[in-house]
Amino acid sequence: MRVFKTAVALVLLSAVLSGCSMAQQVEHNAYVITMGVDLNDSGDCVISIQIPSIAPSGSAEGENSSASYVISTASAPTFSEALILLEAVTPRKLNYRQMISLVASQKIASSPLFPALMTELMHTYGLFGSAQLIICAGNAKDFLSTQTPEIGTRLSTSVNAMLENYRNQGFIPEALISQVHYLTQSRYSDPVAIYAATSDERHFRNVPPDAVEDSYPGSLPSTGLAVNEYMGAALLQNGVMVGVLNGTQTQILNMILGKSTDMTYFVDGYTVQLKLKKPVSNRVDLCKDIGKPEINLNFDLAVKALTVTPDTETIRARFTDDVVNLIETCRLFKTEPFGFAFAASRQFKTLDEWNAYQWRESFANANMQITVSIESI
Amino acid sequence: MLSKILKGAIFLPEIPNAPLENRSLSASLKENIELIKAVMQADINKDFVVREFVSLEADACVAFLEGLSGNALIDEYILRPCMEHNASKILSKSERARYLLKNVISINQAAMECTVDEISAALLKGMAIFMIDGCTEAILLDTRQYEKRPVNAPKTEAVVLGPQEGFIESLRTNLTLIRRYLASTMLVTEMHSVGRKISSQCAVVYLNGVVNTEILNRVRTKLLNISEPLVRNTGHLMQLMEENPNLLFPQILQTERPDRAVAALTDGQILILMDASPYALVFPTTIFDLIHASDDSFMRWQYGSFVRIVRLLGILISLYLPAVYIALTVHHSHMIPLGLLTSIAETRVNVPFPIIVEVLFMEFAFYLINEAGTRIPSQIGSALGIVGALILGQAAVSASIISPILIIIVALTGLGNYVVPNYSLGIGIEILRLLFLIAGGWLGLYGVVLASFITFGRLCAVSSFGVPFFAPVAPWRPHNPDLIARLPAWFQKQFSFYSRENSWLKEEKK
Amino acid sequence: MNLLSYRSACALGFVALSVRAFETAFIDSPELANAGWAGVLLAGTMYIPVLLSIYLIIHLDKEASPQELMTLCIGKRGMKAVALILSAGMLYESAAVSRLLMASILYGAQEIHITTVATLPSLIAAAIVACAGAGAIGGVAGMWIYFIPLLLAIIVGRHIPVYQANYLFPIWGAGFNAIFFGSTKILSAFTAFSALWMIQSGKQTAASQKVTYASPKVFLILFGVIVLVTAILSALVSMLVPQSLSVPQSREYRLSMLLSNGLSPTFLQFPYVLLWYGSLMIAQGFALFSAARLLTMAFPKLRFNRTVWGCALSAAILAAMHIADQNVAARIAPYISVMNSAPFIIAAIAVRFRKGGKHARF
Repeated sequence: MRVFKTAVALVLLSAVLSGCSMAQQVEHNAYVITMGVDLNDSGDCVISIQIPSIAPSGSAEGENSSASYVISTASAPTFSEALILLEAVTPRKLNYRQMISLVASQKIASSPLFPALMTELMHTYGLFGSAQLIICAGNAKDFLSTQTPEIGTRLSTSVNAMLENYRNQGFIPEALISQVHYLTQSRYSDPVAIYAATSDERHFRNVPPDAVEDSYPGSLPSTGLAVNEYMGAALLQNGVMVGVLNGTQTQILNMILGKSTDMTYFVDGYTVQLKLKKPVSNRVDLCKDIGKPEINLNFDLAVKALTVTPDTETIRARFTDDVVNLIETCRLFKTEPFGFAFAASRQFKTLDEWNAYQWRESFANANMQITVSIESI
Repeated sequence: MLSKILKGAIFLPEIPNAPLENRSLSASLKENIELIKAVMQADINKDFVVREFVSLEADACVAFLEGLSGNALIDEYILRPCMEHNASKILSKSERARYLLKNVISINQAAMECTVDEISAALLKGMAIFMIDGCTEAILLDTRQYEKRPVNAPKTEAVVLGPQEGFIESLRTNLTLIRRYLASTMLVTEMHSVGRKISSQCAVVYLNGVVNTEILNRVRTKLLNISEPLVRNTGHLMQLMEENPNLLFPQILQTERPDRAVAALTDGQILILMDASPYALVFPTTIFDLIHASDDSFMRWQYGSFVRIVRLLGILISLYLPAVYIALTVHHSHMIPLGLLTSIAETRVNVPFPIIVEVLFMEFAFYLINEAGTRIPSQIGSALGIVGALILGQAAVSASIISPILIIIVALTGLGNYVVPNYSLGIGIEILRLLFLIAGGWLGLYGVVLASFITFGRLCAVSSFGVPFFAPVAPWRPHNPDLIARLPAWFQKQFSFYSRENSWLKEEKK
Repeated sequence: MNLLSYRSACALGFVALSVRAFETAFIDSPELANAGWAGVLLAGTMYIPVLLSIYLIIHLDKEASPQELMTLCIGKRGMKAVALILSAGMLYESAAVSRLLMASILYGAQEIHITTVATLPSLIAAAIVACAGAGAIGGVAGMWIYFIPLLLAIIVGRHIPVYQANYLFPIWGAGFNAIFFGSTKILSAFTAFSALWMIQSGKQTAASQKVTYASPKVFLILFGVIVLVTAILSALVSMLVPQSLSVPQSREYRLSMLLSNGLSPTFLQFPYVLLWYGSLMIAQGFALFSAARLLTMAFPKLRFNRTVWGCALSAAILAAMHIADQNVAARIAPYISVMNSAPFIIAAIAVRFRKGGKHARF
């Protein structure tokens, strides 16, 4: 009798508890690799997703061909509606947790809709993974369609390897969506995103580059394997794109942030390799009595010649100018992506005191003391 | 005559001869022979031999079971001397048997006995009995000489380094092996009989002064309280002795290795050996005894530790890999790198079954091959390998019944199961794996954690003769650093927590 | 009586209280804004008077069980009243943990149709283990302790390059008021220590060669370790994400910050989730077992197994009625803290008078 009662209890329990989960077979999911977000001319939000087509292994469609990936698009007045529409027209359940990049067009990234869009993605779809935020100069959908796996790898591996390669060279920043979101929500330094474009896109400045180091994506003077070009950083303020940094500026930014320790530098027609001997030190003195903070930035570099023996003084002067130019560019766009805010916030005891300080305005007026020392090796 | 004996007797339906066995011998040889023949059912039992002859000018006989007693021993050391001897003095009728025992019969183990049940028990063990007219006692003579297999390498506990001797079906030989391995006057062998109607001989072996007397009393009490009519072998005995027989994991260790058994004795554990069983039961037992192998301590400590860690990983893989695979692919696919995930999805495109059905199918196929491999005659064993490889490998994948990655999962799981030194534990793990699998398929990693919590929680509450099953980890007890990693021998100073507190084996503290 | 040995109590207390305090500090207290470590330390400090009271009570008779000691202090009825109060607190704790586990599995990509029912699996599992007795729940915690350093080593080790000490500043986060309010919530997790002390026997038996008794310092050290480890973990996790109070931060949001903050590779979620679920299940088992054990302490005639299932059902009902939700739990946390703490302070004071006033010796 006891065994019978236990069996009945188990059966009833399993019926009740059956609502606890809904299993999903892995092949019934569509794993979004990249999402593109656009704003069309009528102000509708256009969402494009790139998903692998999951052909049977060993089939005629190779893993590396573009036919292995499908792009699906939906547009609606709001981001949420567009996502729901996309779910409705995709024959598999969309799963965003494996996303490797979010590509936003410059148009939508510059609009006030963008911060709310990011927040919704994070809250609703749990996009806290390691997806990178890329802002492209043109149309996100076209950007996605020209994104193909290179050098015999899958798209996800290819994009990750490519971004890591560019990041190691310093040409793009690290721009995790989650970190962008958290920095946007908090009152510290501003986040940056990766800036990119397709190579046949018209340069947004509509002029050819003066030099390689002043290049922006879409107009790099070269033809390569990748149709999409990644170069530079998009500056964000309160989650909205306000400006762009070029390749060299991004490299210097990465050095200041501690994300890279060396960069290839172009001086008067020759190239050198600059390497940080120790991390860039910054010291922020609030000088509350004056009301104008003083920021000391110290670069301790070693230079290695690649072609011609360098003139360290020329390099030092040029580099200092570039740093000043970078900081002025950011001040112009009223952003502070350098992390100085964290150093400044140490001097406050509570968040309220910090928020009351108005850091962004203070940074715009701060005295910058930039010290660059270069030693030839 | 037999009818006279049986007339008026009260017969128990289970043991027809019960009333006869309670009787004692008389002075008449003829009556005694008839009695013994009736007890041994000699009219139908043709292997019972009674050899009558004359000794000391009186009628005498030797009775034995053919095949259990050595014919040459009986001929050379009983029949011939008894027949040829002339008494040097005048003997009364009742003195004859004792005189022959002391002066004529040259068998090294002998005893006088007068009750029929003891005599019949001795006959069944292979001893010969000598009776002479005029004596109410028979002489029990140890003439046991029967076919038994030689001491070979153990079949179920193979090791690379270490002794290659295993127990056999003879209790006597097994006890001899233990004596050889552990030469100590404190080694005690208590002989008991188990089985209410048909008794089997068993030996309780322990190291006096080392064993915990409370545990020993508990084991002894449990053994003596067995009320089964027959205990066939150590496996049967184990099931009767276990305090939690419904548990999936065994709480008593069965070992085929004398070195393992002796190590258990020095740790303060107790052995029970039975005739006709090539295993020793070790009491009490914890989970760590079940996952240790005897060559762990034979090797250098680095190798022993490494092998143990590999074994533990194998056990965890065996227990959890299918469940985690299902949980991750079905519920937590974001934890799998995208490249692997798309590979899995691509290989599953044409498979019509859900992952859990696929895994259950493969597990069942694996169990079938496992069991078939145990039972199959060696001549066609190689065919099984081909069938298994064909079914599990090529055909199932080609027919899109399963995905290729599942072959790897099941293969790793199987290998993990084979590293478990204890066969019973291995089967317990196989059963538990199924439960974890179902839990993982139902609730993902949460289900696996819940199932593990319930399993290990309940196991922690189990004890083996007063010793918690997961001791000395849970609850923690001071112990030798010998549970997972096996530290060098010179660190093993505690001796086991099984043993009594002031065990004479413990190193004296300076 | 079915009581934990003191060693099992240490293991169980370490796991259950650390995870609950950490969860309260990081998940349920976004207002602390990366100053969770300060909230933990403050909460630990606030519990010191209770700890000292327990320490003093133990000195009455080092070989007596807590039940006997409390009877000595405040009489049998008083002891039963204390047991009943603690039982109520732990029953609520059980409901709260079941809600938390439900929120956790929601995060973990589970699709749940009936969220109320989703609180049941953990309660059922905890009840099954609790019915097996103190050895079961203490043993499983004792085993889990060995896995925690391995899992933490993987998680923390992988994060070492990405921890940013900057994110801890401003050092006091949202200010003292927020820290104080947060610490009262964390204190309610720490005050479960009182229940832990009551359900252990103060000694170690079973397969030991001799009975050993816990030194009174054991519980002081245990509590100190719990507070320290929780504070360190809170600080480490806070170093992954900058301080922010800008958006409403639900449990799922905070769990995401903990488990998939973008800096953790997705494979790392596996040890994370194991550590999280495993520790919470032990906390659930502790809460349910202690609720039932304390109830049988107050009413000895109750059968233990039935009490366990009754407590599980009550906790399920509390959870289903949303009485143990995050916001409600936050509001009544100070009352629970007082409920779990005051009896011991009263007992320590009372014994001074019962045992001879100013001549009482501890």
